[in-house]
Amino acid sequence: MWSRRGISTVVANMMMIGVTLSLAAILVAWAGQSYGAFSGGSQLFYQQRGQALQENFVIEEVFFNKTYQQIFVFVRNVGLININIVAIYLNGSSITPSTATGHGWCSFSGTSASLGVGSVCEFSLTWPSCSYPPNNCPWVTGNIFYIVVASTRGNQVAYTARGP
Amino acid sequence: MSGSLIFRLRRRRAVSTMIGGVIVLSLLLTALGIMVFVTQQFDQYQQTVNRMAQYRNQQLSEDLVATSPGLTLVTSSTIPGWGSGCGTTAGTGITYICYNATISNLGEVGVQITRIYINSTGAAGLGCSYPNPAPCILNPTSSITAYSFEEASEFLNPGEANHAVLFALPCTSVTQCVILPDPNPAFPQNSILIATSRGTVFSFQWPFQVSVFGQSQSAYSSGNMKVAYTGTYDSKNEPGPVAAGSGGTATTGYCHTESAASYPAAAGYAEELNMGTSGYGDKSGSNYYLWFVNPWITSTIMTSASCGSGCSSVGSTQVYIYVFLINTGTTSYTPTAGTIDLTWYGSNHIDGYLIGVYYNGAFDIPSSYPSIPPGASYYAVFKITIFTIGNNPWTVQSGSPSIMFWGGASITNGYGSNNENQGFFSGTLLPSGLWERYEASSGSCA
Repeated sequence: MWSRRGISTVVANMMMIGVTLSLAAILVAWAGQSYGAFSGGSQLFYQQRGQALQENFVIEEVFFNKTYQQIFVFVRNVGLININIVAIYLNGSSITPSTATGHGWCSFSGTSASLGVGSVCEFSLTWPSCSYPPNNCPWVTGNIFYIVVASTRGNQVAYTARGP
Repeated sequence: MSGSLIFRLRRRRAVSTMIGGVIVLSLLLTALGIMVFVTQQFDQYQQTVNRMAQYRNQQLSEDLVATSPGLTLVTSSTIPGWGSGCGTTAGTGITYICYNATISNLGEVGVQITRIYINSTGAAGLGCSYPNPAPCILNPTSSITAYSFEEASEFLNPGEANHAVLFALPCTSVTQCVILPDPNPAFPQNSILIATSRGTVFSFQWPFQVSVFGQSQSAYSSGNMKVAYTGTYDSKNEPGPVAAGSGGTATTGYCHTESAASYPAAAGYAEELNMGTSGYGDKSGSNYYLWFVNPWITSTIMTSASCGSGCSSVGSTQVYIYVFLINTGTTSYTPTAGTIDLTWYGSNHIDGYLIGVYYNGAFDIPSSYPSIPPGASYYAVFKITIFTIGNNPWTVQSGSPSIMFWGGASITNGYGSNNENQGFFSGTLLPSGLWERYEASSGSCA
């Protein structure tokens, strides 16, 4: 009897140790996963935020060409990393720049236009289809145009111009 | 035996403690590692934030301004280190019209100019306006090409003043010459944008519109004044190179080298003004004409035009002077009368009275003086009646004299009730070297 009680104690101890180790393993695994997810998320967050911060581009000139009914938008990458221009909005409407037709002009290749550090792109915006006669597409002198250029990293630059 | 087993089992409680400690420790170390990792990430992010903040501070510290005269035509054909082919008009060996932009860096950081945009707003086809490329886009190049600016001049140090940025526009023929409009009187017809590497854009208008002295209704443009004379000596005979025989000669005592050009003529030209039927000048057909040249009166011309101190009539040469004026006020006014008094050191005078104004390409006599709106410019044309010049000022005084100019105490209609509103203006008229002169002793024209 005396020795059987001892065996029970040993078994009980071993069971407790097993349970403890199992719980510890589960705890460590859970904690590792959570920490991993946290660290991975924070790494991604800071990386993306850092890249977005390093991205810097400007609209340095907007020129209205009434003859061709086009608006030329000059966008320069003055940031520290390459950028992709994915959208240009004119008064709230998305405009796809026309195909490159001259030197130094830029157009969307696929869904974006890439700009290296320090480079400048000249986007030619053809006046969107106009249903307001008698102007028949060209802008009205004095009208205000709000141009927004957006990048893949979510940055935007805006430019307000008055039609000449 | 059994007692020792229990003892050993009891001693294994330390093992559990160790296992527990290891587990806790591993959790703490894992958390610590993650914290260190996240902190590193945050630190890197913060470094980027600081770097970009510094970058934006530098952006904000940029400050470029164009200083007078803004742009000047480059007259020499060769620009050392950049190339050749520059000229002021189309001609043999001329490929470019080159300009020198005078820029000052008032900011606290060095600036790199990456591109210049020029948009001309004058008449179509002049300068950078359709059908010429509009806007003109100038990129830096190491050797001269059309639509470029000198790469070596793209950097401006902090505080650097009057930095020259040279740029070239094409000029392959008379009809394909991109010359920026430069009207006289000066009125801005070119919008020039300077883009920097940090993405800042600075702009200025050229030519600069002159407004000085802050007068409420008129202002005087320093140095913008011309002289015409008829009679024994006639400025219409002067325009053009002396060597070609179109002007006077050194032996006749007067000569001039400015080519003739109709109103509005750029600086450096003998400007022909159609004086209508006013009777002033040389008659051609039914109209009279005067040729105004840069401030220039030789001793012989002065002698011919002068009849001594206190004289109320003119001699055999009649002298006219026009002064460029601009209404810098906020209301229109109609000139009614005016006087001019050019003085050398208080003793020598050239005096005259207003005979009319030249406005919008037409000469108006007093009975039909036009109303001058704010911002508009005109010429006040004076007829010189008194020369009280004791001696040739050019020989008496070395170099060009400093001349004070008083004029037009009553040049306006006396709008308001005080002198300020009557358009009185004065100031140092001519910077050194602007007056041309003839050295009779050397027989050369200067």
